[in-house]
Amino acid sequence: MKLEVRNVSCGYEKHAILEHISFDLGDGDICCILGANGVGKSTLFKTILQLLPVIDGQICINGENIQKWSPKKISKIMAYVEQAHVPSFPYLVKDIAMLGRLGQISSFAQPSIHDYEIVEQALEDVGIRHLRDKVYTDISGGERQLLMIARALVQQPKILILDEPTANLDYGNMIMVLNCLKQLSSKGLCIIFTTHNPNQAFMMHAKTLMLFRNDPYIFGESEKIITEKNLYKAYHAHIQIIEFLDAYQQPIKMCNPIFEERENEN
Amino acid sequence: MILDQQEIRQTLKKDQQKDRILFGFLITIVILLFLLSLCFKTSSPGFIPPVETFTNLTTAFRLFISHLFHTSYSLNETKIIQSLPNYYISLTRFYRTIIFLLSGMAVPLAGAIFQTIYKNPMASPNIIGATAGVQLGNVIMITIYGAAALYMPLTRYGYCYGITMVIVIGVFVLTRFTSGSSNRYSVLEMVMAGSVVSQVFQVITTYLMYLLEDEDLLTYQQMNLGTNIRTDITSMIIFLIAMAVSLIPTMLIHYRFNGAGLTREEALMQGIHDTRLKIMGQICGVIMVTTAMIHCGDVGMLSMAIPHLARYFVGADFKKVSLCSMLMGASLMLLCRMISSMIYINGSELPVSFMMSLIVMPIFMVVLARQRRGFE
Repeated sequence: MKLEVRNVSCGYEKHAILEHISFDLGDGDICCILGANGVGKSTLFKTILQLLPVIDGQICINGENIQKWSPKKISKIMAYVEQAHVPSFPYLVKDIAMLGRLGQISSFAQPSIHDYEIVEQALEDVGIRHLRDKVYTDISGGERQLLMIARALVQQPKILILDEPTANLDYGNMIMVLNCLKQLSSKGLCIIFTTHNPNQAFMMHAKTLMLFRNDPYIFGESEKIITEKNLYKAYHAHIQIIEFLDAYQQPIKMCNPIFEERENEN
Repeated sequence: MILDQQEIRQTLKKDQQKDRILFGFLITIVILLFLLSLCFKTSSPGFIPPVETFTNLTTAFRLFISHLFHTSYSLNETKIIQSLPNYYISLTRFYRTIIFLLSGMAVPLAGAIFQTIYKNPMASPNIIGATAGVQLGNVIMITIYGAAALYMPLTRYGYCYGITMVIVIGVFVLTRFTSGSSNRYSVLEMVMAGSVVSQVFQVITTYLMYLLEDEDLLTYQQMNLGTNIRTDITSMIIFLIAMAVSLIPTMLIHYRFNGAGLTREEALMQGIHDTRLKIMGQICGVIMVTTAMIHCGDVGMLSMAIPHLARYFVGADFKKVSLCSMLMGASLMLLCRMISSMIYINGSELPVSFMMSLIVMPIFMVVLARQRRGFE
């Protein structure tokens, strides 16, 4: 499976917010999209998912332009994980996960044993099967996010697209979600996610797509792309990158913001 | 870790067993109440023993079959019917019971559909003017025909269904007009359009009511509350057709309606055309509530309270909620009808909707107090 974004311009109502974006992703790749608020991360997502029309350029899967694909066909390749929100009704965890099968079973059908097997497996894969009989509102934020990922997995997609999967999560829950994503990518799933924390790109050893308001985008390995200069361009803040060895003696990078008082002292 | 299929099947079986006990229990209650309400009623001649009711109904069925296939049984029709003193009463009770059973199923189902679509536990088909149409239809009937309106069911159906249809089309057109091209039939637009349109119709209703004489006002109240409604075979057939048109399609795709509760993006990403689903669901829901209101009076209380109760017992999965609320609604409706038919005040039966409020409200309050709500 290969996702190619070729020279794509996207935006609302023919007004392009992002222009001439190109990148390729394959099986098992993780891509992290960084950029300031309102720079067009979600717009790019929605365009890739065909929720918004492409203004210019092509989005191809295995060399085939997906513009004419039906929502059903796209749903078999790509799954989208929105930020977890609280539904109005007390859905059970297993029922929410089953919703991911809706598009795959025919309108008149009920979920079959096969569907149940897929759902149970997906819950197991993200590590929340013990919560299957709980009410959605009773589980923690991190578990909810994992459940949303499980719901996307039951679509059996090749590409998983996540909109800020770690927003509003505490540190432990964030690690839980990132760990789950890492494991999924090792099974061959292509993962694209947005985040406001550039550290996560380092943690995931991901490819990074950085979007800027006025400059052209950059795409590549995070170690090369995420530099102090680029971070300043993206966020208009001074961010220092520290390199050190982790517990396994592997070199690792981390971002640290520099606050203005300290700058003045220097 | 890859899960063992055997283990999954066993977990599944356990889940299904729990549901089976609950649904089995509910179905038994509905059947029991159905049979009871065929026999019970205080209005003369009061209680008809089950055996007699059974004979009356089987005779009716045999006569019907005989007419259909031109056999000899129906040749002595008058004699056969004369030998059964309560024949026509049993038949009417059968019609009324069927009407209440199906309405009791349909109204909560319509409520569940609207609540799922609008993602709001307070939603009901009234949002897009289901009851406003019937009320206006009733008041127009009485303005034109006076008390005779009670004996002209067919004309009344024409007005009620017709006006409801006008309202619903009005709401859809207005929504389409206000929400532009990008996000068609958004929830908020629909609610606003619905309230505007039904307000207009309610104003007309109020004005016409203002012009009515005292006696006609009383007739109007009776019509709205569903007392004094005549049921013959024609109105029965119309009722059954309306119910079939709305209930059957909804039940065929009832699992799909879970998709109506997703956001537009989520639904599209799962390959579901949510707009089609939502429009179909709303139209079916309006037909159900309109039909129930025309034939049994204002029983809108069921459409809000019963899906709540159902969710409390089986979770929010639409498949289970719909089945559970249909069964609960049917049993409550039959029960309320039976009780209300036994209470006489000023020479007429207590309206079913009144009894319903008395019974449903306390249960609803308890559930609301105990429920863990996800919305706040």
